[in-house]
Amino acid sequence: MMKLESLIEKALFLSASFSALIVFLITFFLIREGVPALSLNFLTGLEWRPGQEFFGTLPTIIGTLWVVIGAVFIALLIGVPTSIYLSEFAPFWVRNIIKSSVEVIVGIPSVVIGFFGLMILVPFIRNTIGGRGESILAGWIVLAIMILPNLISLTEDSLRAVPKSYREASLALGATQWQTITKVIVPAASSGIRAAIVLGVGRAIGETMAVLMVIGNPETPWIPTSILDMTRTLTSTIAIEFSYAEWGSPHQHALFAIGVVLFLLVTALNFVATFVIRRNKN
Amino acid sequence: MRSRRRKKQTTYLFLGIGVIIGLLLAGPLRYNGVINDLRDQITSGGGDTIPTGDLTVAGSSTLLPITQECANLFMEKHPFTYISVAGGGSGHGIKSAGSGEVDIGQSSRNIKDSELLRYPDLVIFSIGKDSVAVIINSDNPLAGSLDLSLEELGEVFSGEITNWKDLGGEDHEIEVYTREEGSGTREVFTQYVLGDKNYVSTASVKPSNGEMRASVANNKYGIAFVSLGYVDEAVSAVLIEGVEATVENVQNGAYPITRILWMFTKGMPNNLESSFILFIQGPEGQKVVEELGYIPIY
Repeated sequence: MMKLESLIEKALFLSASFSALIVFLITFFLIREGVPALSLNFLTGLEWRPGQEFFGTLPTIIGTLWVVIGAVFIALLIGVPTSIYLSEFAPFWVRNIIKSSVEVIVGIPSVVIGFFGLMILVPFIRNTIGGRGESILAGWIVLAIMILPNLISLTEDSLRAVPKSYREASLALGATQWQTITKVIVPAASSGIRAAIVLGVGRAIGETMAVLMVIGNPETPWIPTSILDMTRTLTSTIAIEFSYAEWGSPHQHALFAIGVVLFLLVTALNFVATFVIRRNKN
Repeated sequence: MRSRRRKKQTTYLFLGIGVIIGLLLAGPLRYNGVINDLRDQITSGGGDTIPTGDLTVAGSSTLLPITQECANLFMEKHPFTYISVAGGGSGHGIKSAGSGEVDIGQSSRNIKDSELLRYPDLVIFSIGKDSVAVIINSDNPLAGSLDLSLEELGEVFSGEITNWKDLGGEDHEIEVYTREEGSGTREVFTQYVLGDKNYVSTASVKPSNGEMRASVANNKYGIAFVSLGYVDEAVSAVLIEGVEATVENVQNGAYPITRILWMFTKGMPNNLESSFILFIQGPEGQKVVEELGYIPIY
């Protein structure tokens, strides 16, 4: 009996070390291929012309941040009020309908959302607001749709986790329901909401297909000055150019280096997320 | 006790990693060996004339419709074959055929010296010819009548001419689409039209012929270049030097842009590979080439 148990334990350990090994191998490969192209010029250069071996990624990095921050902001504007409504006001059946329809969004493949963006959103922006339609604004909307479900369910969970006694105490002290929500419940749930934001940012940075289809990907990206400008993100640059980059060429190393930058950004975010969640526990 | 346990655990960790690396390295080698043995048995066992087995093809999106259609016809004719066709682009086609990742690579541009140096045992076949057409939206007032010289086209795609007004159209910015660096279609277009100029920095990069066409079909002020085979009723082709972009005009040399479509194998092709390539080069395959709007090799 003992023998079987230790055997199972070893098998479990083997599968656990396998996932660690995968991360290790991917990181190793990424860094080995990317490091030859990493330099200060790579991070601060303004021109991306692979044909002439100019590999400046600053406009792409700034474009990525623009797209991600705007999308998370829009998602917050819609998501937080929705979660407050769902956790504090909504009758049971309304909550059921809204929550399950929001959760359906998770199941829609990102390429389908991108296709919707390309066929509906882009022409709409071009005809009503102006510009080319393929723009940062279109990226914001598409990404916000994709972040929304997780943001809403995480925020709602943390609002619900606020002990009932807090609410009762606040109301008993004569505070209105609005005051209770803004002064007691949201502050008490704030670390959960912050964790939801960090996870949303991580999802937004890594998202490729839907964004790629609507942000235009200009030939030589520039630092965007308007939300109607086209831009590139780190992921879209890799996805578009990788299959054509010659094996072992400086261009390919530069694309791996973009992967390293992306990897560092996401790792930094994970650290922030862990920190935020830990603080929650204390 | 605790530290002994930990020591034991680290031993298992390294053991595990070692086993996994071993499996990763040994797995594909052994598997390939088995497949090759099987293939040899099949081809030597009276299979000289009947092609059997699996074939993978990858590369240029320009050749994709031809290869797909020919693969379907070929598989109907030879039921014991399976051909899988993928895109990925010309560079990818040359790379993956040269490294043996796929059986046949395809490219819509000429192979570069650097690639030949890297993959010296590539054997090269031509399966058709193609051209690059410039397309605009059918609702553009200039649709059907726009006639540009190669030089003017170069000025449009490099951003020296930026308004449709300057070409006789509406007062609106010209919205340029281009392909990504390394695309065969882009390389041919650069060679004939842009020369040393850079594409305008606001040109939106699309990763395939299909997306170029869809973008222009959806944008009244768009302009793009695609493989001749992708021109259809959804868009309007621009006359170049007064010549319409048609198969006849490319064949008789009136239309100024032409290119050859290539296929590659690593080393001399085996029975199945050569039957498939001969099929495409033969009358049935060349009929497909012609029907899809490309130009047959003879």
